Amino acid sequence: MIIWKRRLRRAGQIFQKLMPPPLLAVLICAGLAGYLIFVPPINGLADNGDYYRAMYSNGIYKLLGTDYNYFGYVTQKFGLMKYFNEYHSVNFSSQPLFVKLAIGLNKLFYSRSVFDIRFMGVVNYGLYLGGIYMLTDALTYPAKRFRNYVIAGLVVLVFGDASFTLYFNSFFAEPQMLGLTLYSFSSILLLARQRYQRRWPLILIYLVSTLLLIANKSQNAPLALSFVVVTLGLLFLPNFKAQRPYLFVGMAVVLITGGLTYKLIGKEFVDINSYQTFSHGVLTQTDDPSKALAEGGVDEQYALMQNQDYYAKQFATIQASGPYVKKNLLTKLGFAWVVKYYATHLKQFGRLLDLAAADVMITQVKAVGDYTKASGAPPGKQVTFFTLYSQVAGAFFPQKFAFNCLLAMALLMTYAVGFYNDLKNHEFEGILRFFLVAGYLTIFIFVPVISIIGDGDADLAKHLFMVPVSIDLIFLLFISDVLNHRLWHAYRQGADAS
Amino acid sequence: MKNHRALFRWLFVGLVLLMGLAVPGRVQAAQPVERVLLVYDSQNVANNDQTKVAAVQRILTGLHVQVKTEAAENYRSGQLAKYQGVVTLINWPQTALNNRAFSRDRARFKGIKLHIGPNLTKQEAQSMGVTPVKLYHQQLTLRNKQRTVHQLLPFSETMTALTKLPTKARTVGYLQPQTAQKRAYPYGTVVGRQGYLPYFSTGGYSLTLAMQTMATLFGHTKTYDPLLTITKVTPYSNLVLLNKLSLTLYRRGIPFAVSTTTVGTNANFKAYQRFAKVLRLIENRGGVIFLKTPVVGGVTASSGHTLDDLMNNYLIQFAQNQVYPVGISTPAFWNQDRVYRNYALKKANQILWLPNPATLTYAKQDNEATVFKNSIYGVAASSFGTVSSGTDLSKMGRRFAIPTALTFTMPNSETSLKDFEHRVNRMHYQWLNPATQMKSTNIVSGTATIGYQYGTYFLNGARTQVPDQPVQEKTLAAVKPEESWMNRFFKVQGNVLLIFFLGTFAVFGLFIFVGRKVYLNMFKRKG
Repeated sequence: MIIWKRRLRRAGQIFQKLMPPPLLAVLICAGLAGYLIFVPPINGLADNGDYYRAMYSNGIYKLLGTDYNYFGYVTQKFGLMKYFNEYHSVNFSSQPLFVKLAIGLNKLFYSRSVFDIRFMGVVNYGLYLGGIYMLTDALTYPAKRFRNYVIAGLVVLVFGDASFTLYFNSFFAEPQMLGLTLYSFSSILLLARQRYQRRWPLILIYLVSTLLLIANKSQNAPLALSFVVVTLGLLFLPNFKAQRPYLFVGMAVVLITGGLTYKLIGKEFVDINSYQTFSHGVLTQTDDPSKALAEGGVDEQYALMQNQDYYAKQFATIQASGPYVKKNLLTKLGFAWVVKYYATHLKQFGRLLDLAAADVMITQVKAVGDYTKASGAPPGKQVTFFTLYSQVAGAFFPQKFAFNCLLAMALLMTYAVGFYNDLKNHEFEGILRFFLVAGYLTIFIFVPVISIIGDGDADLAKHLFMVPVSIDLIFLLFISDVLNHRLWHAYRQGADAS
Repeated sequence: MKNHRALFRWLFVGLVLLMGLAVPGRVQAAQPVERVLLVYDSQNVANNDQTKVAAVQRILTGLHVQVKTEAAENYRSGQLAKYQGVVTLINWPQTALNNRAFSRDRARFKGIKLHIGPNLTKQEAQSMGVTPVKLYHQQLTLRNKQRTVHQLLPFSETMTALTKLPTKARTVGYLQPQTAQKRAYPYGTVVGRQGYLPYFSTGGYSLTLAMQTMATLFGHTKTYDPLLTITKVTPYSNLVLLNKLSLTLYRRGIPFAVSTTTVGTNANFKAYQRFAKVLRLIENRGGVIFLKTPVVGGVTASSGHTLDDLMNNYLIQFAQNQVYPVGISTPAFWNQDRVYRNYALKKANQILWLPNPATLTYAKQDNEATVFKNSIYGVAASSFGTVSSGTDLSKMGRRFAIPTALTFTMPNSETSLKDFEHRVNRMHYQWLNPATQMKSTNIVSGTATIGYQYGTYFLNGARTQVPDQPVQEKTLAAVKPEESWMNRFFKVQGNVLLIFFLGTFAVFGLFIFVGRKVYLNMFKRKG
């Protein structure tokens, strides 16, 4: 019996050596995501009308003579422009870097004239798998315990979920956001846990991934503030005084990037956003907005624009993108007007936030199909393979914004204890971790607020993408901390014996 | 018994007759409809000449002619056999119309033929029995016989005019070269079943004469007063101005029409009630309402049912608020689209055709325009009011060869309202009065039929009044989607968790408050 036990332990050790938890998580995620996005018939996300932003400025066009499908089916093949490309990027963004990389790979391995969406998938896939490795490593290091396989399993369950990996085969910016967030989060955690002797590579990874993340999409601009909170933690690194000025420079760069991303939003997008904030936010969740509008100095007739889109889906009473609306309505609206309106209509704003809270954990984009037309699936069909976590979380996560606030408070208080203890014991793991959690909690709380103010309930589920990602990360961190007995203080070797 | 039966029979006949009187004509005009093929050489978008194609389509529709439009290159041999008329429109004279099948079929064709624009072929001239003459580098003036109206045409490189007309020929207007005052050529020419217009434009005197020529060719002799129409009204327009405008026109005794879009939901909003009230006031001030079709976004061939529902909602919501449109107003290209025609336009028997917008979005274009009992040609009033190139036609107050609406864009400020009033004052038209001159109209939408006949509105066949104030009508309760037990569960679960958390926090706070001394004492050094 003892021999068996010993043998089993020996086998376990060998397994642990050959297959540490991070590698296992990466392999499983690679299998799951690879199956979805590479094995024909491929899965992905259909164009919701936003692809053009990433396509044309990068020299990709809809293949002529094919029935290009919006919403219903995933399109696999696109055309690559051969000659001068007259389209210019509509926004300041880091996304073209990734699209250009995909195009480069496509040209190298496949074709110079036809683009296969799977090369976009490859780029996103690679980025993501690296992130998964770093995350699992950060969550499990340095404990050599079998329970770390549970943590690896949870990472797979949460981030291997198809609702995330389906994004890979698309021209959306979200898959890069996911990957970059994983790097940004893990590098801080690895620093906190002193995974490597040298710090600068991790700090560099953190800064680069954060900058790319903020610049990835215009709606990410406010995240700069959250990441400044995260970066504050780095000031507490020991023996770091000399490098502190660099860190301040880094923070400034983060803020400037955020500012640029915000400032360089195309005029057209500003109009779209202020219109949809109005029609999908200000005018909704209220019985009759007519009176409130008149009080706010806008012609009450515009109340009838409730739930109208800037670009009419099919038919509309008036062309919102036309000069009449621009002159008579959009010039009167603005960030300040919207904030003032909500400040005087808190009840309505609360209802909108609850609406956002209800959407927080629904990560699968239900508006577009996940299959290609060739697969024979009906248009708009959703993948159900490996979506357990997103389904359960989407259904059971409370749909109250107040709950989210309380949850954030509870988590903050919990991690504040670790912060306090480590500060007292001159350790820094808990300090860095506290600022990390605090920063991600601001994403969790403020992104819904900003989304509502910035764009109403239009495209809400997509605008909230960073919210589930951040709360999922904190959730994984919390579980792993509890499992490794490091929630209240820095990790201590042999602490599990206690 | 026999008497009874006779009595019943008479009662029945009487009832049918009464219904026939009360319910305005539901069926489209029963007169035989001519089918015409309109063949154009090119849209010539670079010159904005696609508007000419659309204008010819609209005029023909106004003449109760069913028109199928085809580019010359797409014409297939034998196609003409199905039609009673053919119109050739030359938009790009620099290129020849090289579809032999078409030229051959047209030469053999015995129906009505009309040639608009340059490049009249020898064969066409021969069959009309006229001698064509080319006028090179000429500045031509268009005038009437009495020389009371004239319009300077743009300088033309070449224009083919007709001479030596047969005696039976009828002419409409004259082309007067500047160089030879004594010599004039006919503008519109009709010889039997063939017609010719050397020049066509979408406004001004040439348009009125072109309309007249085409009306003559298709055997229409009536003339019509124009309908003063305010266009581009939406629920978002300045309603105070719209109200003032209608009041001004009412006080001056000018009957008018308003073409407006609307919304299909939120009738309970104050904003909608206000909008409906202004429209009701218009109806009571001698104005009539045309329901303008919505603007088009991302439509597909399967958008028909959405459009059908939307139009029904527009109309029913209007009717519930005592706004009774007398017809549908729409950009002309809607008649060239199967989806738009079948799911929107065919609800009404009176259509006001507006000029096309800059970009045309079709759901299912088929170029098979249909006819309606009443078609009104909408054209900007300003296009007849320019004096720079000739007579101010609006001062002449001429009648039109087809039912015509002269449109004014909805003013957007007090100044532009004043400007509008001045402009109307200067015009000497006898404006069409819908209450006395408009044929009976009918719009059928889902459950409601809205009729208009000589100033009286009918709702589902019954005479109805338009009150100034809204009548509290029983509105149908909105259908709420049934809440599933799942959703209820999650709602309850959310609340329970929230309360639980709040409770925990409260208890937690209480503990901290109560126990803070105990806790702090732990750290105090025990003396």
